[in-house]
Amino acid sequence: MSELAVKFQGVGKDYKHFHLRDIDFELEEGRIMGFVGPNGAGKSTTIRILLGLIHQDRGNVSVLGHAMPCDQVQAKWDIGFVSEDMRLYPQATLAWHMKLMTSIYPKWDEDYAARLVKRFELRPQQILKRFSHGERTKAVLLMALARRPRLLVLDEPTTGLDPVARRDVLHEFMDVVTDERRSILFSSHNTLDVEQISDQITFIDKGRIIRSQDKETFLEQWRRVRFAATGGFSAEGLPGIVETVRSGHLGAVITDVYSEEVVERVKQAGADITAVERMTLEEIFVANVIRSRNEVRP
Amino acid sequence: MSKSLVMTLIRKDWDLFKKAIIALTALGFIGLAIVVLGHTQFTFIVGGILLITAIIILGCVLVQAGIAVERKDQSLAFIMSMPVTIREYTSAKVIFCLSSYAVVWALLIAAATYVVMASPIPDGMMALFAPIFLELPCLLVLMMAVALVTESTEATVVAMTACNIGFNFLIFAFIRIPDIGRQMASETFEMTPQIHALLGAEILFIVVTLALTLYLQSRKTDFI
Repeated sequence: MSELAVKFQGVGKDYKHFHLRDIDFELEEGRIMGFVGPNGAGKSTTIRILLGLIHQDRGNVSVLGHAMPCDQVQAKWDIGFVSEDMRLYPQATLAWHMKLMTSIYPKWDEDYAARLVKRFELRPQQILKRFSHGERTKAVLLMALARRPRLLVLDEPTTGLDPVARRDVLHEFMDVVTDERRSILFSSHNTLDVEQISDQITFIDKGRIIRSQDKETFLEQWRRVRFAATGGFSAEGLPGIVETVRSGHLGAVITDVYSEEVVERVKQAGADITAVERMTLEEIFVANVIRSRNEVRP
Repeated sequence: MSKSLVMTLIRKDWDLFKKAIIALTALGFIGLAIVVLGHTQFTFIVGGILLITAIIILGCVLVQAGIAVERKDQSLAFIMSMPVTIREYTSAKVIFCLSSYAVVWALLIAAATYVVMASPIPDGMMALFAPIFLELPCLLVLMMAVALVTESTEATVVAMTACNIGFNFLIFAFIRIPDIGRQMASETFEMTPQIHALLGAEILFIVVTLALTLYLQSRKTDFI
């Protein structure tokens, strides 16, 4: 069995207007977890707890075998953290930042850093203030990647990047996990990015984990079954149906436990099946959030 | 606590602010030169103001650019992604601010004291200048404490404004202290118990404020 890069057990944090509740999830070494949630869902708070920057009120957090927040220094030697709102010093050059990293990290890989400078088309002697947003993001990524961390924690790293820059960045993430001991926790509300690189997905909404599964399991189990039916048809009460949408005699049901049996049940309830469609991660995410909010609502 | 990492953070701040520190030190010495070369009351006032201003601005730069803006510009997240704790970060900031300020302050104050004692300016003026000189690091420590503990640029700006206004009020308050007012025109300077107590109070303020800052920082559970 693989070792765990990250383990959250019953983690909670209380603020006046926001509560993180019973966060439980595990990330195995060598895997990429997409951490998906709407704005304000608790992604950044969870990540900051993971890094020891915020102390949890309840529960246990273990990162690379270190208990957080007490062992944060030992853990952070092997963590590369990139956040959308992280900036380097605007008055200093990229070369200055790279020199700073060399003086801190014994594992800093100068050759790799130089390759990234070239691949990201950055100018080492230019001050960061003169960099575009995309260049600044790439510079921050370079700082995290070239320290060769065992765990890369990315909080909305592709926000604001143009499609070409996004592709470059995602490509680098994929490269990181070619080493099977390296892991990535990738938080985003951009499901397209997450779908491209993740092999495990965790959905979070309103401070609660609503689902955590393999990406392939998600994509295999969720289907939209389109149908035509007369007024008497109702999918309510059918097992495995998450959501039903009707428009006149046409409609669709969404299932999270797709099998031929589910389709048969819809047929038996009086509908003619017109199509069975795979769903995108975004559609699965939205359906999960809606279901979770309906369950929570009194 | 990792001493080498704290030292690296201190060197990092020195790299970022050395130009401003050197420029403000030069400005202070220009103020002193005006006092020494001018020989008039006007040049004494202009030079003295320039010297004090240079020291005050240095404190503001260290606190505002070194602490408050680092957070506002979101460079703090970059630093805190490194293997450092809140305690190490705070120690590095406090050591850097205090040491760089202390070197410049000591240099300029020693030179200013020499100028006062060697020039026709009455030596008794030192009764006023001594608490004023020590008031400057008190203000630095207070501004630094507000910036670190509140983590708010707005609160830091308010603290800076209050400190600068308070600085002038305190000068007037010092003049009203009998042992200071009495000596200001005197050719000799006597270190009376009253002045001792005042200087002691200022040193105590620095120590208590620093201790309180480190204590409050060590209790923080949310940093970014």
